[in-house]
Amino acid sequence: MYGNFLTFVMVYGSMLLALILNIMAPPPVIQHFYPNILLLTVMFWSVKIPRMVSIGHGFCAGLMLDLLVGSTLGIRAFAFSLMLYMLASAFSKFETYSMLQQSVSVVIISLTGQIMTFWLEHMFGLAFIDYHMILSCVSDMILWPALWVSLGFLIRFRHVRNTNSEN
Amino acid sequence: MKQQDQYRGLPVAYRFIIAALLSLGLVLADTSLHISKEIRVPVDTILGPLYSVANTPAVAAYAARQQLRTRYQLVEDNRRLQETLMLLKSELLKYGQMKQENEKLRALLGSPIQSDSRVEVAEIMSVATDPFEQRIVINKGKLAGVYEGQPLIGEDGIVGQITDVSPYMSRALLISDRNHSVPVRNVRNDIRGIAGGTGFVDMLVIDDLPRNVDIRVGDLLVTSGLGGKFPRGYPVARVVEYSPDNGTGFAEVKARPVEDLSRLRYVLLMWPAEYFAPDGQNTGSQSIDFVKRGVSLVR
Repeated sequence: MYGNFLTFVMVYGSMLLALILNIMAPPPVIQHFYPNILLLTVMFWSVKIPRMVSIGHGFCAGLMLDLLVGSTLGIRAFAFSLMLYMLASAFSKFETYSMLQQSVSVVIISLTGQIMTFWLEHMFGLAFIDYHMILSCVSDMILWPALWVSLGFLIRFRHVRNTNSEN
Repeated sequence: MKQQDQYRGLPVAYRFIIAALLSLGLVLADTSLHISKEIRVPVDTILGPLYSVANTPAVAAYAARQQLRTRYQLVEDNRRLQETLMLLKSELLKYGQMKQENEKLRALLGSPIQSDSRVEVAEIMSVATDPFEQRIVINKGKLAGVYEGQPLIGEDGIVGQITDVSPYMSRALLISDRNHSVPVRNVRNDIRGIAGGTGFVDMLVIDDLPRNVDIRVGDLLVTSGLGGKFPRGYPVARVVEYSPDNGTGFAEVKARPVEDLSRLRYVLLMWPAEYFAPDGQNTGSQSIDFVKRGVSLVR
């Protein structure tokens, strides 16, 4: 399931795409509802392939985001590490949850991460709270099932290809 | 990732502790040593293509909108632009004469003559920036001569100033950011103050003005040129709220930026001519100018 070139392309390709989507400035109308796509993608892979994608990847993804949005380095890296740690420890049976349970867990994790980001930005800068971040967490919840299914298709496709070639 | 392979066997708690220490170390290093400023140029050079890709949909959408404009709209636009151009041209006729007159008067007073500044149009890249800050990314960088601290203006007034410069792009802080302040002067009575950002795009506050200060709602605030960053005389904001009594001993003055900072698409990069002078002679004489005229700072 991992350590294989196709998986590598699949995981990092989707993460790169998610990163680009994440730094895209959405139209002002949906600005506050714009989901944290990179977070969802990293979370998906860390649920599906926990031995390959885990806190280290979360750290790197957060650091990339820090560099790209031009904030203080390490803030999102910390928040992403924390969110993936939560996912790996407090929600260890995440994959067996029903879709609703999964989505609710995603909201809890994402909101914790957002608050942590705000808190760090507030400590080391002059940021003040913007309650719109709750809206983006709600979008995360709505997007999660779609992402779960679509990236799941990728895995299934990859899995089928794999068994075919092995036979 | 190397780090991943190295710690594959580690329990998640240890991994988290390592990641947390690393990132908090980064935060501390960045806030005290400003490493992100040091590595900004190589990072933006490497990650620049990502910005370009992220900017593509916005560019494409704009291009599509332009393509889909009807003939009627184009004719209408053309008519409007012609009209504006004519109005501006007639204004300009007056301006040339007034400028000459102004220069003569300044020469008589012995004040330094303000020479023209160079401007260049830059486009705002539609990429996400830190949601807790008011920043923009523009598509001109060091190669176009952009420098740190450079003033940015829009069609109606001051927009902000450049904070980070990379070869092909740069970041700017808007005047409405909480970390930004701009020295201003009230056009009506020359009272000076400092307009600080609030974090809201449509609000600036002028702090530390005495309670009996003569400020009215509707007053236009322009740059005073005292900070040495912004050239003087450009509109910044209009006072929307003034209350002499907010319990702190100072007046509470709120102003709305004249430029609509939430709908920026193009900005003008400005190279103020007076700051090109060697050893900053002109900027010095500007403040001497104020002292000479016996104007004391409102503080």
